[in-house]
Amino acid sequence: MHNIKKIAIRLVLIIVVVTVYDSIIDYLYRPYKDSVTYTMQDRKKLEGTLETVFIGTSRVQRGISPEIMNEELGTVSFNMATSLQLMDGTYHLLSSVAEENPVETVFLGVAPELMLSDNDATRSKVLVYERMMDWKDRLSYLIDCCPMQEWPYITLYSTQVEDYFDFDFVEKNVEFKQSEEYKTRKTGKIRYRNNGMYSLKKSTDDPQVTFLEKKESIFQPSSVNKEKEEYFKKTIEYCKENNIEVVLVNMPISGNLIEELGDVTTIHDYYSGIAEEYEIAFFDFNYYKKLEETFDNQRFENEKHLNYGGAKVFTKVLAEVYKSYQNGEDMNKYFMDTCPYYVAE
Amino acid sequence: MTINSLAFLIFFMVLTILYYLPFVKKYQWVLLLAASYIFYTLAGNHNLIYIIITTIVTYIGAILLDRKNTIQEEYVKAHKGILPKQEIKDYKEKIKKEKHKITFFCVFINLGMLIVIKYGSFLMGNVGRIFGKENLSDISFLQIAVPLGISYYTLISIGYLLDVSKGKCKSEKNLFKTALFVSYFPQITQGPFSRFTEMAPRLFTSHKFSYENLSYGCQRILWGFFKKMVIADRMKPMVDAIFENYQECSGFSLLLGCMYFSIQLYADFSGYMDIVCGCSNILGIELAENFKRPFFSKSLAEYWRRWHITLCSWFRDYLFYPLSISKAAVKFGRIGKKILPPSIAKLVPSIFALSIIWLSTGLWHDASWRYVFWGIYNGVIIIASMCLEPWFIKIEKKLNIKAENKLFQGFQMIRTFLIISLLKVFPIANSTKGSLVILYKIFFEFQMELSRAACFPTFKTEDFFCVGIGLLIFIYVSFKQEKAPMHESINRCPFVVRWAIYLVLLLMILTFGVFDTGLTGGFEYAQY
Repeated sequence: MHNIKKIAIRLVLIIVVVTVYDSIIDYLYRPYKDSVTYTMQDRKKLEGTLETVFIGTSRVQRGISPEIMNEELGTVSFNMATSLQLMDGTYHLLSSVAEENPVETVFLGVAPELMLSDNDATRSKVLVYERMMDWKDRLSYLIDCCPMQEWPYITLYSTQVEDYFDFDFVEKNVEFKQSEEYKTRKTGKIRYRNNGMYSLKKSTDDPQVTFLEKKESIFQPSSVNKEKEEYFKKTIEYCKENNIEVVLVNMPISGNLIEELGDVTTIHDYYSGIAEEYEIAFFDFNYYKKLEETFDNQRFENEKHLNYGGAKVFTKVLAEVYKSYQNGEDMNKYFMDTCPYYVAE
Repeated sequence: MTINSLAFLIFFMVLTILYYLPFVKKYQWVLLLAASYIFYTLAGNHNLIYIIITTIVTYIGAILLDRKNTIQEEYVKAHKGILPKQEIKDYKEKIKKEKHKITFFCVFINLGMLIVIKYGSFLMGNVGRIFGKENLSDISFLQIAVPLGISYYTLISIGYLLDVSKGKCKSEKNLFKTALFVSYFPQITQGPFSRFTEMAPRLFTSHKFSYENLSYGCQRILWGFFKKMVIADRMKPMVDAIFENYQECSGFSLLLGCMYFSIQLYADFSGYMDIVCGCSNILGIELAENFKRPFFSKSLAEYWRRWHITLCSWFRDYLFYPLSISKAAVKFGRIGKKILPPSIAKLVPSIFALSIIWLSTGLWHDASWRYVFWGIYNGVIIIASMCLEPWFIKIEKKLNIKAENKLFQGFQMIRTFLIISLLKVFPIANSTKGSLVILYKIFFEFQMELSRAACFPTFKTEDFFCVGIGLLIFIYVSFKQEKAPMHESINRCPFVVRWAIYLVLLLMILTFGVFDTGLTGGFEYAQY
């Protein structure tokens, strides 16, 4: 008994020291630009009231503005998307939100390339983990989706810092975090918008498009990762079981990329199949009639991501389409049978 | 599951709690056996057939050998003074032959499995090359994945059989206890090579929980993780970058790469040893030490007495001693006396034994020609230094150099470090040709260049700080340990200082350690 007490005291000491140390490192080294702090602040404020959730990858995170959607639909919405979010992360994140909020609608944006990948980036898991409020949800996510080898990296910020010796950065970072600008969020330095939305560009309507990468057509239904597809379906089933409406959204990509990829039809057919199977709505914005004029290259910050101006336009369009869908209107007035870029060819 | 994973730590924590439960006390060894097999399976070995065969063969062989020893003892006891001495001697000789047959059979099966699985492809490949049939090594039964730790548990088992054969220890009558000795999880993947005489009383008796053991064990585990994660894992990308592009690197960069690899491998392997020895200490089972600060060695021979100590002592006890008194060694000795100067002639039996030992040590590491060369290189240097020792002593006397001179000792240590670093061209290259190209470049295309890209490719500023701080602590601890065990010094410190040391070490691991799972992996020596 004496030994147990002795060991317990020492274990508590270790846990306390590691927790305090990790918090200090987090404060010093986590870049002020990192959206997670603001996201969690907003989540806490709105906890228990969220009705609409946008979830998926960075295309959703940067492409849908909850603020505009709230105005358009009169709802309380939140953007839970994160970079490279995998389907198992989506499932856990969504269930953690739905358990604490009266969620009615989920806009689910799945990036086709992430349905194929076998190499799951640990960094993407960190982003999902950090957006969970409850320790039970976090633990369940770790056990279910992360190999134990990744646990220290995912749970402790001090293991994620890449350069401990960049003291200039630390000085500027801390200085800014202590400033009013940081607290009030009124600055061009912060790219976090609101309710989980994050935009890369500083200005609201930056017209410059930077083409980061060119990718070849890779999407084939046969090469979809079975485990990811299972989680995709599990997410939809979870929503249906909990009377949550699922709207599957394929975010618009730039014309340059559409022309280069050439597999937009394959992607559309794959998602249509899933939507039909589960009888849910599917809005493919690469089949949007006014795609070329509404989402020209000026609306993107790179091939895959809308800029803030593009996001504002897109959110309005999405709200309009969704309202029409709810009113039982014909969706053919918005969408074509094929991608407009292919018709133009 | 590797030893440096969180999964292992959780596995070990659960095991420790169960191990010290009052009602488990009598069955601690059973729990250890179950844990060893679970660990072995979780480590990626789903095929347990080889370790089970080795265990059964070892168990039966040891019992038969022990029985022969008992029969002989009883016979001698009953007939001493009754039968003529010659008759007793003849009887002993007969029993000895029978024991040889049993030993040979058991070693043949255990070693045979190792040879077929690990060396089959290599041997058939070479035979095929000689007879012009390149695809001989593709025979399907030779394409078996080498079971983890087979090189370790095979030698451990053979050592046990030889000990029983010589009457150094009694055989274990319980098959499952033999299984535990063969498969004990802290030593199965990378050693150390334990002896049955030392391990049996520790493994099969009950242990009471001791806070001192827990404290010492945790200290060692923490120190092991520090070496592995802060030094070895941080240096790995740089070493890999040099040797993956060895064609483009100068001899100077490659020599530096060899030195880095020496440090990385030491931090990696000794880090592993600290972790497993620490775990075993917590369970009350002390494992043999495998390292004694090898970089303080003043010669290659001394280095091998400080590096992978249990492997070297295994080869010394079970191969070197029997070989140096074998008929062949005596024969070579006689020939040597006729044709060589007396100072060298007396070394001929040892030279004969050493040649075979270094060839075997090379092949034990891996079935490839580069390890054969590695063994030859080691053997040649050690034999040459043995033969030239009288001359070295003469030169030292003439130059009035005293062995205890610190400067001279420093020179000897640096010289030894350079030699062992050069030896690393064999394990680090991915082929024999690659090793020879690297050696050629080091000696003939040296091209000294002091730029950062040439000396520390891929190393970022933070890597310099992390590895630099890590190495400084490592060197400081090594110097302290050379005088007295570090844990004794720490234990003498007041509680606050002691815990400050532990916590700083822990936070340093979190801060400077490599946690990105894409960069970390298992241990270098697990491949052998």
